[in-house]
Amino acid sequence: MTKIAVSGKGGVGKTTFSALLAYTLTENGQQVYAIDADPSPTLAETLGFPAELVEQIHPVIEMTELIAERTGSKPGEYGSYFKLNPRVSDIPRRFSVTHRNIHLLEMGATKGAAKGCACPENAMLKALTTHLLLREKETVILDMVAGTEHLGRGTARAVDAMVIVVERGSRSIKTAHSIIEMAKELGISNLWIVGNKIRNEKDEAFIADKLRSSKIAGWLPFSDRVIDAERNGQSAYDADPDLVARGRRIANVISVG
Amino acid sequence: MEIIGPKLPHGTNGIFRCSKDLTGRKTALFPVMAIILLLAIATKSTPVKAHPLDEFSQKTRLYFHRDGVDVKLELAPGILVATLLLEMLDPNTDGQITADEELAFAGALSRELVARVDGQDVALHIVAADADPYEDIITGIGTVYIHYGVSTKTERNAMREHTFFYENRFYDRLTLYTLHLHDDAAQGVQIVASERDELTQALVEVDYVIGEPVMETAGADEKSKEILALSQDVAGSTIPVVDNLIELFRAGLFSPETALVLLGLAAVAGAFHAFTPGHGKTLVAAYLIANQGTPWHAIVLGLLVTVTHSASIYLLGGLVLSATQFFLPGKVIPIMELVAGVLVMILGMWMLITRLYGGVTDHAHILPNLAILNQNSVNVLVDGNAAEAVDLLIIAAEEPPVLDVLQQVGARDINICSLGCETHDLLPSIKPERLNLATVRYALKTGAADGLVVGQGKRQKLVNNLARKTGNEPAFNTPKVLDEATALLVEAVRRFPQRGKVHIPKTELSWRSLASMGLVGGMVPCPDALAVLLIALSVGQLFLGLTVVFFFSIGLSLTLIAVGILIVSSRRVLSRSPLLDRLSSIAPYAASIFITSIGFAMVARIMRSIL
Repeated sequence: MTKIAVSGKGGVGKTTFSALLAYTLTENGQQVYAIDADPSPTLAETLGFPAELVEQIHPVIEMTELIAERTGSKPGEYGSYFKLNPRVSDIPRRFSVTHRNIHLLEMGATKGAAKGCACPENAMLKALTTHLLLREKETVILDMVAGTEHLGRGTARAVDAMVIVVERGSRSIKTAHSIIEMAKELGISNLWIVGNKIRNEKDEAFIADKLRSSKIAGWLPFSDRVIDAERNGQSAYDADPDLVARGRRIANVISVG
Repeated sequence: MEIIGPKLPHGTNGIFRCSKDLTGRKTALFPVMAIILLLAIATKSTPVKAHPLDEFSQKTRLYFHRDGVDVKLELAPGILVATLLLEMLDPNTDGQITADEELAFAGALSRELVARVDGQDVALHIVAADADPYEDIITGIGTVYIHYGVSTKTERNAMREHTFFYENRFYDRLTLYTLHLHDDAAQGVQIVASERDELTQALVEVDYVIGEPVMETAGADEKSKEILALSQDVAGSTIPVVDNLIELFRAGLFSPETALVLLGLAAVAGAFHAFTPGHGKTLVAAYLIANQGTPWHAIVLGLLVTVTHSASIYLLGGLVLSATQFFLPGKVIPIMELVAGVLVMILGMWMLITRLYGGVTDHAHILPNLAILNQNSVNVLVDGNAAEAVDLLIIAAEEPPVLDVLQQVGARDINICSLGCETHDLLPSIKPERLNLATVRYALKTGAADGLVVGQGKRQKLVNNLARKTGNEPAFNTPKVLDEATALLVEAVRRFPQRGKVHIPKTELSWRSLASMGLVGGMVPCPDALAVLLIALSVGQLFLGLTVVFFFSIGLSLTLIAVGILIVSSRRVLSRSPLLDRLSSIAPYAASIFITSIGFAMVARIMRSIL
């Protein structure tokens, strides 16, 4: 099934869009894996998951013992030998929480560059991402950080569509440009822009102009209902029918719907 | 009149031996004291004086009377200096001390004594000389008694003043002196002033007067007795009751219950005893830091030190008793200490050299993880700088061409392993590129590396050369696309059936290395434990003596293990902070140097005491 990666500068509404897309895709009976790869995860709340479910969520990167067991490493020690292709096939089912056909899995913050990239925790996430994108039978939405750090040359190939969310500010545009560059380098061809928090045609024109060479998948309006829903612990999907309609259209445009 | 005072002890701290410093003395003797005290409580108490293990106790009593001065010397050697005394007492080394030998010794000893009456040197003539049996002296519980006489007799009138000077120079650097002055009021002899070396108690000048004899009164007698009793109490207060232990051993008074309590106490005593300077604690700690050991290593090392230590005590005890003439503890222990010192030096330097020149990896904990390499899997190693190829490899590992060829050769699966990362580059080294290759070298040496992925650049060339040198050439590439990754894996799988000899070590901190440290760390026997064993042996309680020493050693090892585990786990805590982690990565070098200097200090100390 479809594998979608969502990226963009922090605060532009990546997570809001991911949640919207996830619900949209469940409408025709799909099971959807929503993967929160943001270091400060909020996808569960954005999806309006009940509090008792949110409590059950544990980021994969914090499962020290599991990581040690699977990678053959020792907890708390860096630089040692460890397995780069640990068994991860059971992890999405075992450690995700499910609500309305959406299976949520939190990755947790990857370890910093100070320790080098090759630590067992990061290896585990990499193997898990690879599994989710290449072997997982269900639809997967990967809510990433501003960048492509979870993707490699091999996994990028498996991404059916990458959506970069932008808003009407130059900084989010700048970030979008660098993400586009990295994505192209990795070989992701199906790249889409979604403009969020749009107030008027002027905002649309600004974004369209700045990202001339990119495909625009659609626009999402600036919505007070979304803000209220966030405050009430409700999902935007349940709060704003207009937004949902636009989300469906976008899903169709990027031909994943 | 009676004036006594202790001499300040001198000596140096041993590395493995018991503490010899002012504060350490009490703790060093703690186990012996604790065991003996327990026995003393259990039985009737007859206080007998004892003394430290590596010194002489020389007690001089000066009796002033009308015709002269009696000098009564009690010379008791500790177990480690008994040798020195026996060389003089038993020059023919037949294990017997004859009356002639006693007299000859008294004569020789008198040359180390100075006696002056009114400023004139006077001769000390031997009145009597007697020594405890050889076996008692060798086990540190014997005493030599010598009675000298000095004459002050003149033909002049009875009323006189004298000044008497006395100094004892016999092994003055190894002696704990005590001095007691006795006048004879009944006979009119009275001390009017005395001046002594308060620190050493080795010399004294006494002014005394001889008056008319007074009538013996009950009161004077009482007083003199009282003073005498007081003096004995104080003199006997160093440590108590070795004789109690001997009596108890002789009588075979142990019930199973008291024996159990005794053994438990021995273990507790051992545990506390290990906290005194020495006993390889520092060495064990430094070694574990230097080699970044695991808690398991700490446990094994602690146990090894203990086993070696017990064995060395048993061996030395056996040697001393079977062939006393040849194996005197006072001679053998310093030699063992010297040997241990040299070995520690060599070990420390070896650790430093191999570390600097890349023979040994800095991250010893890597190698326990060599166990990740699987005998039945196709192992593909990925260097830290080739991380971007990882997902390609993970995907390729399940591509049909790879799975097909896997089945053909009968390998279980593809095992992709990380070789680690830049963390290793933080370590100081003379030849950094060689050092960093250590991780690759160890993996190649297993013979189980079928594929190798290293990033482009100089490192790739080095790794390539290394692979060729080890005669263990895995499939080699840095894949950029999936097809390349698949091709590499297929090649690696094809190599699998052509592997040579495969040896995947379980741990890098090799048991050989650990064993050598354990042996060196425990080879110098602790004199306290040896003394307990010898006492037990000398009264024929062999089994009990062995058991007590064994339990004592168990206690010792518990402390060593605790220290080791503390060190090992603190290293893990440190690694959570980048700065401390970096510091702790330099620690192995510092610890290697430290171990070398411990060895040097041990050798230097022995050399100094020999010279």
